[in-house]
Amino acid sequence: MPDIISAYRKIAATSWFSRFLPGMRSSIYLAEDHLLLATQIIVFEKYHRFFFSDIEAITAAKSNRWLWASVAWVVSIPLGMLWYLAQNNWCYLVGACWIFIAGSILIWNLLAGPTYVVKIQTAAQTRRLKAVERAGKYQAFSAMVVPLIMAEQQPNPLSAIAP
Amino acid sequence: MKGGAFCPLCNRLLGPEFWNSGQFQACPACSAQVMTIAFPTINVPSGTSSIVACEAGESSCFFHANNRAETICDGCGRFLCGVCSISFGQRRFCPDCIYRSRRQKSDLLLIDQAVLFDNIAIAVLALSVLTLSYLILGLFVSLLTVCMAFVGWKYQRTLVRRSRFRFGFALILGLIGASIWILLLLLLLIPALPRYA
Repeated sequence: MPDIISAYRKIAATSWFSRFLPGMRSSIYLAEDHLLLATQIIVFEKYHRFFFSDIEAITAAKSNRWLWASVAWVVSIPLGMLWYLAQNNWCYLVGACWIFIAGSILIWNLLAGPTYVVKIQTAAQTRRLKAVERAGKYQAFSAMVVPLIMAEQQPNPLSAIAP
Repeated sequence: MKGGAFCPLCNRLLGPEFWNSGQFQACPACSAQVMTIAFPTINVPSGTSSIVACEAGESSCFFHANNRAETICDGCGRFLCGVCSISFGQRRFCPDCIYRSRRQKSDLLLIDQAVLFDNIAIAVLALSVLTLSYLILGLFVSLLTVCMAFVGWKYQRTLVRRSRFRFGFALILGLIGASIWILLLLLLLIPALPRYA
């Protein structure tokens, strides 16, 4: 196998939380003429390429996932307080850690913003882009990638002149 | 067949009125708020590969003698018809070249997966600890982890840059585990050895 060329530049990745969930970790890399979607499934890394000239559409749908996740973390904070019923120093410590972690994730989830379901489509494949399913990430991704795709798919004036 | 965009949630076909509006619109099927960025390629008919019968004096496809050759494989130089030509951006390959390149990992453009030896090394150790088999097979598992880390360090080739931190982590854990096990075995075995005093 030839040496790995640093042709790929990472432009988006799923959050650190996805490291603990098999199959959820994915990253998007930018190359000269295509996007590379790298999905990690425990001991394998799968690659999917989307050439700028082949991409037909990028679709995003609003999702309530972030609201449900916030509700779950809000509920878990009072559950952490149950540790204080034990009236033991170790239980107090566990309860404090529980509340701190749940509260931190809740704040991070709210700050990260709304979630979308984003898919990229070519004639041959449609893939979900989990790495850009937060509003901020999606906007940054669109701002970077859409001009590149449009530039690639513009008709070449030289080819029209050539016989 | 003309292409189209689809709702990411219900996969319903979204008509041109949904394309490039710059704002979210309700999907007619699932009522989800959907935004579509469509590119010019979406209007290009897909699924119609041009297959033309080969006539006398014309070059034919390597794989289909009755089809006229349309292009040349960038890997092996064979003549290909519309059915056999598979495009990767600006390059075109025949199915044989794709199969061979994937097996030999000779072309970066055709690599579709990589094995993560660092994750295997850590997973072996973690699984043995979680299943308590480490209490019996600890030395074997630790040495296996060290071997996996060494082998992976040399042979792991991912298409994108990947930190070597996990290899170091697995190596340190494996070496610590193996050292402890060897020490414990020596402590158990030394008193049992015959003494020639």
